[in-house]
Amino acid sequence: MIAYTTLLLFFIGIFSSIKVGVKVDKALSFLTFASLFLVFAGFCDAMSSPVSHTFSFVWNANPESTMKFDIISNHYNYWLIFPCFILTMLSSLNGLFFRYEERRSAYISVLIFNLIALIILITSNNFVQLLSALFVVDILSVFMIKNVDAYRRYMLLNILADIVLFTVLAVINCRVASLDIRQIVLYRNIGMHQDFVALAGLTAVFAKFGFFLFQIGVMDLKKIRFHRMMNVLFLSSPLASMILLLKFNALWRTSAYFTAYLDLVCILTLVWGFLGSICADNFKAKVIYWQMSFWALFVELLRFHGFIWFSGFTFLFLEMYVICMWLYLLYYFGRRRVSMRQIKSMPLINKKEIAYILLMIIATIAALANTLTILYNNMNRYYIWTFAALFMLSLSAVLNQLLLHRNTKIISNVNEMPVKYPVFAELMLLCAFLLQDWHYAEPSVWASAVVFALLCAFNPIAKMEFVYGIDTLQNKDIFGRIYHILIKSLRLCGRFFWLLIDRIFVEKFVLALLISAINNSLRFFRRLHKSRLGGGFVAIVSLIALLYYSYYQAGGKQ
Amino acid sequence: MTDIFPLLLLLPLLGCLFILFAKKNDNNSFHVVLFTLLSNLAVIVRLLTQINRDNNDLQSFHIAYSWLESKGIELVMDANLFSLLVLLGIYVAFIIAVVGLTPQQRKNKSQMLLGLYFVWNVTGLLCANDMVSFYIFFAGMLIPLFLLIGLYGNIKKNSTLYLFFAFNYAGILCLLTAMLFVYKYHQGNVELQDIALIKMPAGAAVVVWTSVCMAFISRIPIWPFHYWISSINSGLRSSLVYVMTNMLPLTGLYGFLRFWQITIPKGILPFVPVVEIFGIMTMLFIALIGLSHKDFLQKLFSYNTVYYLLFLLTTIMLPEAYIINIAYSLITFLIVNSSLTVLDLWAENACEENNCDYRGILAYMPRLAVIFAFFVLVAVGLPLSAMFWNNFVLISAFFRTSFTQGLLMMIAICIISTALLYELFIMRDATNKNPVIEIEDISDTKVAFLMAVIVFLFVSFFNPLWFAF
Repeated sequence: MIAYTTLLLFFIGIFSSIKVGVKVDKALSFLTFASLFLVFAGFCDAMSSPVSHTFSFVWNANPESTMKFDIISNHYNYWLIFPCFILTMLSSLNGLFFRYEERRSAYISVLIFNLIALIILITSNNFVQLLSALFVVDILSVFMIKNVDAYRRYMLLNILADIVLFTVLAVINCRVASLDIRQIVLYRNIGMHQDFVALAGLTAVFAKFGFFLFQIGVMDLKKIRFHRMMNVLFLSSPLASMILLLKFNALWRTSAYFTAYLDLVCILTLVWGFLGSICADNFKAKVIYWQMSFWALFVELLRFHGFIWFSGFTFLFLEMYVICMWLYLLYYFGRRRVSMRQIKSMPLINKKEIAYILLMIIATIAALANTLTILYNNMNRYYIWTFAALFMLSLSAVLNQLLLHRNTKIISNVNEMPVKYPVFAELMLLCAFLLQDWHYAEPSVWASAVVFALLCAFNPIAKMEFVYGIDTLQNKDIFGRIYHILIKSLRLCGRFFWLLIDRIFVEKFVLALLISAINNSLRFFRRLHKSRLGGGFVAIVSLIALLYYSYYQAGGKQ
Repeated sequence: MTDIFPLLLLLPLLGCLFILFAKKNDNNSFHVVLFTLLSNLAVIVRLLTQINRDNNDLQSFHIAYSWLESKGIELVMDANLFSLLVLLGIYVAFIIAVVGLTPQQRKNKSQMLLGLYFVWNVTGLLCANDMVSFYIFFAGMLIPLFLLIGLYGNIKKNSTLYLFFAFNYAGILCLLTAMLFVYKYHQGNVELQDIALIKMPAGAAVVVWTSVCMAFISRIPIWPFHYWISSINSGLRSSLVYVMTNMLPLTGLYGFLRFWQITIPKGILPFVPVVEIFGIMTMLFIALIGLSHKDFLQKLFSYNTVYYLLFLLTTIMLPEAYIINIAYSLITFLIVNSSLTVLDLWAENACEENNCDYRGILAYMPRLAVIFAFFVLVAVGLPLSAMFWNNFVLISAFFRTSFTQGLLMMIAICIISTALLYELFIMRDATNKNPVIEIEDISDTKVAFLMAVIVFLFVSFFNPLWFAF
């Protein structure tokens, strides 16, 4: 039962977050991982059970509506949670072997709490639970990023996306008068402003994915450590937004603009991701661009399958994670240099390991192609293969640049990096798991692997290395600039209003008029009291007018 | 049931008496204020435990006192669930503001005395159930406010100060006019819920209700009346006075809540859309101004205005059923507003004492940074307190009434949220952090106190009345 798993995870997370010394921390993190593994084993065992359970309790009884906290255990939710769980496990496991965290157990606890939030998000049945879980995922991403400079724009975009989603859900709630997500079908029938709901909802989801126009947040992640960046890209807001898409697509699809908007943004994201991965000098930025393209492909594939999750998507998700892990190892053996020019200038010492990584990347690409073949189903295969081809082209170009076009004359006398055999073993096992359906592979899959290997050796795009030296291209943050101008124009607008309305209209006109009226009245009454003929005349006329008015007000009797 | 209700009004007066006899330049008056506020908070919680929440019993506690029998003036006080909830928010906000005072400010006897007197007036206003006592407290709270702003307001332009006073006096005069009309036609004092039943000519009714509306609008920063309040706020550097000034719109809002819910004569109904349009335009306008300002307190003022207007429009446009959602939202709103004021003033003081840049100040003070971030996130309306859920209900209801208006409100909220978040990130920016400068973070006591406030807010997300069991 998922609720039971969640409870166990919660206790493990609490246990793991205990602050301990450095030596105990290592033991604690091992213990945490072991517990996590046991819970995962139990989860996998429960996955095979066809029985559905619902854990539910009322968390806020309000006259308007009753809010329930639901954790629904069914086959669909199990399969959706499965990749999140496995990725959390792998990230925790890698944390044990790489000494990149001062407090490993604390970091693992963040991953576990993130997993809990994702589970609550996946199993949620009402808007409030959904938004709450979504917000927890956003907040935990701050702990994952742990760098103010890197999460500033990322968080700002995510929180604004949350507010937009809040608005969308408020619009739905106003028509349906229910917090139950399953009731959105009613909105589809009776609801108004369906285009607004679809477009605003999709925009929020795109912002959380970090798709084209909203990529500034995720691009800042290149400033943080590689493993943290990977965890955010795979397990945080993008994954949460995919879950949102799975939950609300039925509603949003009613808009005539849904498909067009989705396709447009996905294609632009793919193109932007492809260009970025070719042009960026920063290796981490390249990984982010690939990840952007991957999510765009993923969303399109989901659309082709009616937004229904099944095992093929789990495999695809894991394959991308494995590719990123191999790239991480490449980065590791490049002595954690981020600039492509710097990595290339390092001597190729861990040759065996790098050759092995290359082979494994090719194997994973084959697995990826195999999954894509399964996923392409009856739809237009060229469309999908274009996505895949661009991805393969840019990835192979980078590998080609790193391994073949080397310039090692600058730095020498560098020691070998220690090889992390457990990580290699773990990734190998994962590759074997992903290649389990290999015997069903079509010739096109074999061809993909061969083409990719050839592209790694001979790639025309790899010769575009000169772009790494163009500082304008590397440092110019065009979209950041656009957002800056947007905010600045809004601020200018506010300043303009303040000057025009507050200062000029209210202060200089209304107030001045008021003060002048008071002064003139005072002057008028003062003059009335002076012994002048005019003043006396006005006073007498005013008195007569007052008497006349009073007389008629009283009915002309007094 | 009503045995402890009079304490609510008596304790602040007793506190004022104690402060009058306290020594100058001593912490005695501060302790008296804190003790009084805490005691009254306990009374409120106790009353809330006794109230029947299931049927929203609006007349739970009631006391009457014959003042001038020959003139037919009987003062009636009562407290219902709504007023008790708002009072709870006010008291917690004041406790936070008092704790946030600097050691020098705590020794200021006059500030303490006037602050407590203001609290008494606000308490009285929220418990008043007849026209005369409502007017007395409505007008009475201006005395300490005027004195405090005059003494500690740091107002650069005298004309601004005079206009602030003149404007508020005009508001009082409007209410007085309405009260005199009501007195004339009823031949005595009248309970607030009975005003609508008084028979008076149509013209007189229009005068009464227009005066009442003008009196309350004078307190709410709706355009073009926002100008005076914002001018006053910009100079304030005492958390207590700042929180007091920000309570002023609350009294206007409360006035609307008490009067508007009864009935509105047809004579002024054509003006309702005008108020709605002005309200929404002010929300957008103030939100943009908030984004353009560089001072956090100015942004906070804009935030307050946007939310007060949201609550005002809720009162005007939505049915009475939503009144309890406003109350729950208001509790969080008042507490968050007070907390952010205090935290920002602490940060500003730290900047002044250490001669460092305001940008990135939170990078030096990690504990303050975490607490500050929490309150900003609550203010933005994220699911961390009761405000999230209740705002969701209110905004949903707005969308049901008018999609365009609801959308414009959300745009204003979005802009002001961006302004607050932007400022938070500026304050946390560690780019220019000077490693030489070391700033002392907030003390353990303050952290413990603020953590208690955070827990209070967070648990309210699950059950808004968790403390009243």
